[in-house]
Amino acid sequence: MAKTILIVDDSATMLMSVKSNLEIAGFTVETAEDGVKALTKLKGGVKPDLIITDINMPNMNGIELIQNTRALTGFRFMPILVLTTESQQARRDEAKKLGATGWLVKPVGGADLLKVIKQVLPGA
Amino acid sequence: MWPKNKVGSEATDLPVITGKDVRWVTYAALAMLAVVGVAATLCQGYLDQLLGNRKDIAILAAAALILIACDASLMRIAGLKQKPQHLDEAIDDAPKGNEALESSWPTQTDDYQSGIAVVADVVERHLCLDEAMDIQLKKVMEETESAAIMLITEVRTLNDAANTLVSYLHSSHSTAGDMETVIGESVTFISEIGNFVRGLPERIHQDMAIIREAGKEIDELGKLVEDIKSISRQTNLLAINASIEAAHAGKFGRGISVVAAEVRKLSERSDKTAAMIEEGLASAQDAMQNGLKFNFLAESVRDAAKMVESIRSLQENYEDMRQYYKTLFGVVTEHNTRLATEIAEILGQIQFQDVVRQRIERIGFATASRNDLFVELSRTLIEADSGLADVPEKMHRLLEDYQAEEARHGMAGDGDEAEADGLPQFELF
Repeated sequence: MAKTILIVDDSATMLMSVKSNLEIAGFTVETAEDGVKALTKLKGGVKPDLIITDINMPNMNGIELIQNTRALTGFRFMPILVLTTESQQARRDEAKKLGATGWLVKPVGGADLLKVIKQVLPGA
Repeated sequence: MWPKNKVGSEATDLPVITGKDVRWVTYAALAMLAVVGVAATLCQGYLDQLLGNRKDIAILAAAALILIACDASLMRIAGLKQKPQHLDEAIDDAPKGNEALESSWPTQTDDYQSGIAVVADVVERHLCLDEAMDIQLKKVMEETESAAIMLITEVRTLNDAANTLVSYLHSSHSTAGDMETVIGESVTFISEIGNFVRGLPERIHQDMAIIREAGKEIDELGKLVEDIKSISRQTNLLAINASIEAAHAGKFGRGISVVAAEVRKLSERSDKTAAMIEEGLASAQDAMQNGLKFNFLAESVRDAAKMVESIRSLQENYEDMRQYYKTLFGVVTEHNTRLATEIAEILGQIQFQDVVRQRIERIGFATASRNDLFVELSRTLIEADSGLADVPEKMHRLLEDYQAEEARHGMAGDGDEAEADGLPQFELF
């Protein structure tokens, strides 16, 4: 059965490009434009195998989303990858401390993204 | 653009009166003295009548007035170039000085207020220009986003088309496999028929040889018929002779006469039977001769053989075509895989649109903050507010904030390393 990935980003370009890349690779993809919408989906029953989130977003940023997601029942160990233009170590450490699984700096090539996903989702 | 840092103290050390100023004033003084001298010479008679002995004193007084006027001119120039004290302090207090402030300084004290008004007007127009450019930048972001989304849609369509092609080829490959089995069975059956047809001429030749042998035997039977006819004729003659001899014997030969008559009847029947056998044998010979006419049959056999060869050739061609098809399927599949990889890379590179959008947004934010400072600068100039001294510092802080914000975001690296601070582009915790 195809694995489900939730992509959270306020950029329509990012959502479409990553979604297309993952769907071509055989994943089922859910999308959300910010942390609030993503959290609503998770609370509404969407159970992804992986979340890929941006950091700078309106309403709720990626860091807050990680924090809130980890507080939800059943999402404590689900992998969360950060895909952002930010690269500073301090922000990485902050995300890591809150439970992020990995950090990717935009732009990420399709093959590289799939390689990282296969590392966090063995058998995908 | 933010000016490069310069040492601001140089601004306060500028000479108030330059050598050029002194030179021009001296020239003017000498010219005026010359005019006074010439006029005194030309009007000497008139001056003597008017001033008498006080003529020399009047000339000296005129020269003195000219010199005082020159000095006043120099002081006037010095006054024009003198800056207000609080502005000097502001420049001195600036962290690294500000060339823009220096270059835009009014050069006429009387025009100081109008200069301030010009600066305020320039700031206002600058804000309008920035606003217009901001609208264009937002439009650029929207257009590039639309273009990126369209590109993604097109790329996906391309990928779907490629997948459809491969699916079609895969389906055709399976169908071709089924067809191969059916054709293979048909060809085997046809080959058996072909082998039978190929062996048919030989069999027919053998059968014809047998028929020819039968014809010879029929010919031999024809000879026996001649023998039967000859026997019949002789028997008939014997019967006639026996009848003659029976007539000579009178009543004693009557019995022989009866036998001779019966023998004659038998001879006639044998003769008729021999003729019928001869006729039947002749018909059989004709039929055999007709049957031995081989041309039409041989032609049919050759056609059948040709057909079998054609079918065999067709089978070989089909096998070649199947191999070609298999290779084609493999090549198309391989290229489709490469195409999918390239499409994935294109989709990754499209993310640059978002990276660029965010950079433009950061520039827009910094520009808006700078414009706020420009407004503040304009206001403090007009109101001669003491807050003017803070503006350079604020501007400098704005630059540092902008640079720090840019540094927080990774540069677009080619490899696995983000260029910004040497941190990896991908990192799993």
